[in-house]
Amino acid sequence: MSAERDLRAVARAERDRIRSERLRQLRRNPAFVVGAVILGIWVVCALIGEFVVPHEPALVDILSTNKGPSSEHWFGTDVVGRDVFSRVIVGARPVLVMAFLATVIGTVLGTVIGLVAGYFKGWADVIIMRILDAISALPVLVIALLALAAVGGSSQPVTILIIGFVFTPIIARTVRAAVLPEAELDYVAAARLRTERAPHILAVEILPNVLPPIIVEFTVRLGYAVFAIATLGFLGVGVQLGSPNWGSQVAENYGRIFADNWWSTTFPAGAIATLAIAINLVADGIVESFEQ
Amino acid sequence: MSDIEQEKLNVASGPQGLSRRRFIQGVAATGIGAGLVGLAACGGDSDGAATDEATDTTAAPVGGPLKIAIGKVANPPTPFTTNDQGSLQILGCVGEYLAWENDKGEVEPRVAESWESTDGGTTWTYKIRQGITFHDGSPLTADDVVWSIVSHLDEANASTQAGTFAGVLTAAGVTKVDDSTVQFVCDAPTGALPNLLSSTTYGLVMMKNGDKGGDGWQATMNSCGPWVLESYTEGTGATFTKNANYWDTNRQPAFDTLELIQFDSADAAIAQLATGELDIVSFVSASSVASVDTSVADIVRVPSSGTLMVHMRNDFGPFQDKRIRKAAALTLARADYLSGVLAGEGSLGNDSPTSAYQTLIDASVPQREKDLEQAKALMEEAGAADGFEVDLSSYSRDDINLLAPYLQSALAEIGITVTIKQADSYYSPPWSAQESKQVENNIWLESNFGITDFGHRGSPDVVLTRVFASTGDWNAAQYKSDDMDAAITTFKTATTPEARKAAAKTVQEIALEDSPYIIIYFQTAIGIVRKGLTGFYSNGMAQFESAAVRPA
Repeated sequence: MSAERDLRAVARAERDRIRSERLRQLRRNPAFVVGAVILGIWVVCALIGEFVVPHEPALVDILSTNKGPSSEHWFGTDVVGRDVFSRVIVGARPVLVMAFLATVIGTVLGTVIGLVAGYFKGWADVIIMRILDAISALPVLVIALLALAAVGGSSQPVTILIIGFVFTPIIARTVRAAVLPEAELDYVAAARLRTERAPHILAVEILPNVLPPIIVEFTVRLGYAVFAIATLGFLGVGVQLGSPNWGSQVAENYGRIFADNWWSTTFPAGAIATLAIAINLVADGIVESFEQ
Repeated sequence: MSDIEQEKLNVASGPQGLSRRRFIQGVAATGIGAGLVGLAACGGDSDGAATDEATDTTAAPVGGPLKIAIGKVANPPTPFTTNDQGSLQILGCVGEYLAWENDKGEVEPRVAESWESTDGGTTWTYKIRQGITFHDGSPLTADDVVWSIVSHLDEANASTQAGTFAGVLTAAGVTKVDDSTVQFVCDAPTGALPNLLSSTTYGLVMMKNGDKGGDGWQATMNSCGPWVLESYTEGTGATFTKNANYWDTNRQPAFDTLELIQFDSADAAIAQLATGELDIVSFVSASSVASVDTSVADIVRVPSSGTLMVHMRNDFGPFQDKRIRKAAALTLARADYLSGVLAGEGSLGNDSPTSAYQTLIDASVPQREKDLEQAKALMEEAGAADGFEVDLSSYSRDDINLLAPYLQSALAEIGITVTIKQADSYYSPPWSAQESKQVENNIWLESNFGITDFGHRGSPDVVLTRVFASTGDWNAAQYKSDDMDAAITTFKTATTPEARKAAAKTVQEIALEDSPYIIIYFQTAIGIVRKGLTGFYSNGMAQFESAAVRPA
């Protein structure tokens, strides 16, 4: 028992060293730093944006419709006179919260399924993976539209669940691929010899060793989730009218982009782009740090 | 100029010097819509594709498809079930009506050659045009005309059009006199009957005697219009071929085929028109006009009494107290909304359907304006100074998507927190307000607070009967008032312009006092037409002239 404790301590120390080294690499990666800063700004906007915006985002000022950017309205006003800057800032919250929750759901479910399929293999693996293949064949938009049509109306929780559901097979496949070789290693065999139960082996022995690909997959999926939510918002799915969701802001104003109001579309579209790019830069940085 | 046009102009110029008989024959027969506020204000003009060119229809056929964007088809496009913009637009192309309301608010003869009343507006005699054939080749007869009207009045058919004739006409009142004459005997004098029997009661397309006009009719769409159905795809649209046997040789389609393509938003359709994928966008929200590239398309404007009506339910929920309803109505700056958001495309509403018609407006009744102080005082008086939360129910449509956030923002000023609930299922059963329950289902007739789109009518009779009368089947506010019912009856049975205007004033005053509905503005019907085409117009109801479209 004492030798095993020593081995565990050594392994823990090694993991800590690798983690510190990766953090150092990330700090030295300019792309990651830029991405993290932009992401951080949007996170701050999501957290405190509603308290610092210059105008009430839902306030319709019908005497100030379609005003261009100015000192009073930095990003101009939209077709019903709402302040675009305030709506873009406040719009960070629904996008980030929904994207984060959807990705968490997808990651948790995908990880559990991937661990089970990769560890047990055999029929369980075959059945699970074919079901996941079938789900993967359905585009997220089609599933979302069908599900929301069935539920009726627009529902943020349903949208989150759907995106999480669609991400699950992708993450499960990644986790399974990582678990397959891991399950053949000696420390897993040792755990079996100690008659440890499968859930314990999966959660305590294997999971810590397959975390890197899970983290990478999480960050990559987060970027996709932002795009999915913005797209659904553009289509009017998953958001209620009047929501500052960036996608719905684009949808409400894009018809006038070449007429008399380019700002109401450009700024929320820019917000989507910067957030997605920031998340991708962060994800790339993490991937690179794990590869080294 | 025909007699009908002559009479319309008399009406438009004002009631002075009109005899009672002339009123019945002229005002009613030609549509009181000629007196629309918007028509007086902007003269029914257009930017480019002049509507007068619609009559120049003798150009040689050009072949090819004509592609027109239409609105959402929410219900099957059949005579009994039509209840939305997309379905009535389809019927307007494939079907033929006794008469058609044009872009000037006039009622043009179609299947009916002429009509007259011989006893002060109770009995109306229609002469039926001979030589019209159905798409299946069979001739249209007086029996078909009787069937096409009577089948809507049969309760068993649950026609969406039946409510228009409540208290006006029963099946027993519709009879064939001879092979070319049909008589309508109303329950009471009804000066507006020709309006009610025209295309603005959009389900009244001609059907063959014995045909069922409910769900299933869309498989053949056998009527007498200028276009013959080729295919109809639910959720997408319909394709038609030209009717070579169409009775009106001046309006024979110049194009071989007509494609009606369904769009949820005009903005997307306007973009497709700019790229040449579409020829015409049939009905556009005022806010979308700015996005039209006028170097490639013309804008055709027609004033209308079409509107977005906001109901506040009287029998349960937070709006039962009329002081709260009035407070809500007083938060809205109507003129500013019209000029700021709609770029002036429309006319002011005063919470009564009569306020759309110039000839019915009494200047002594004040226009309701924004008055926050009074609104807050009324809320306090009603014990609702702290406000409340309420859902605003409707569905997604360009103009509704502008109005709903404004209502949300305006009502917040008196403490009412509005949550916007939009869903395609807004128009769901029950189809009669008399059958609705006291629940909040976020649907048209079972919601506390909702926005409903109403198409144009040549006179306010239909909206008064179906929306404001206690027994109205579209009375989403569940508004019940003996005084209003009496005023509506007086209005509908008035046989002189003076009496009608006096009754309209009473209706207007009661509507302002009880405030069951908010009407901020009346729409301008706007169509976008690719340059190089003439003859198109969309009437106030969003029905459009497609047969007479020609290359310039």
